[in-house]
Amino acid sequence: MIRRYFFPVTIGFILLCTGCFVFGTSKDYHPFDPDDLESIQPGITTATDISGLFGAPTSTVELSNGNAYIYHRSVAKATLIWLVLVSFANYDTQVDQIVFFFDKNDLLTHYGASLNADKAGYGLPF
Amino acid sequence: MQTRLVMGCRFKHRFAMLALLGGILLSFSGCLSYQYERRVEGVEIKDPADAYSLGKTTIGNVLCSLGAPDEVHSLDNTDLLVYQRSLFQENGLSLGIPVFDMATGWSVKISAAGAVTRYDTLIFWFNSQGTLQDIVFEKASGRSYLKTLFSKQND
Repeated sequence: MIRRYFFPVTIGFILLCTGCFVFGTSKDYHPFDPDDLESIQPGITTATDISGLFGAPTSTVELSNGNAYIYHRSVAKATLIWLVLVSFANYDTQVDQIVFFFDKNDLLTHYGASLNADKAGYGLPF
Repeated sequence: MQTRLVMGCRFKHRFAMLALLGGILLSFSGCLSYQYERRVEGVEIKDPADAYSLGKTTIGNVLCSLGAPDEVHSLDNTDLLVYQRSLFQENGLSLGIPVFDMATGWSVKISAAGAVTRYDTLIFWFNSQGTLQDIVFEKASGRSYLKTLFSKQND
């Protein structure tokens, strides 16, 4: 009995699992170096110094008591699986973001850094 | 002679089974399918609970503990730091018979899909002196996918 159905069931299972796997990476790149943060000192570093070190900011925001410079880059990783009857897709996007806050005299008051782009990963969507 | 006949019969039976199975899989491939897609953007945002005090916490305190915000905005005399993570999920089921379509010239296709994007958001409001005025936290990703999908917009 088992012998009789083993062959067609195995072939059927293999055919059902026939499909394709795709792995992809997409980068929104901005060439800033987080190591440069070590040379930054609130109260001393100016907006010009930051532009010199990190280049042009991705965006700027005018605040109630100064300005903010935002540096942003992201990494997205995609895992796609197509089988005969089912298909799965998983996208994971993580960012590196540094925000510098300046007072009205363009002196750095605070900064915050979130460096998570390396944490983007491939995987199943469950 | 009889053994050969039996073997030939078995071979024919297997071949017929395989042909049938192949035919079923081929005619159904691309017609009955289930799709599931998930997109995550950003890292997990935890409930701030009582970690921050209104009137005491400064922008510097928040930046030290949470890092750079995802968005910065200015409203009148207040500055907003926004931390956000989004979770998109889509499920789809489709049924169609391409062989039928080729044979008769008209197609039958039924499909249903539902997509939901949920946001975990943490917003800090600071006054012009950089002191915390208000804080809002919402963890929408904890809600059930189906309940969110079928709830009324204002639920």
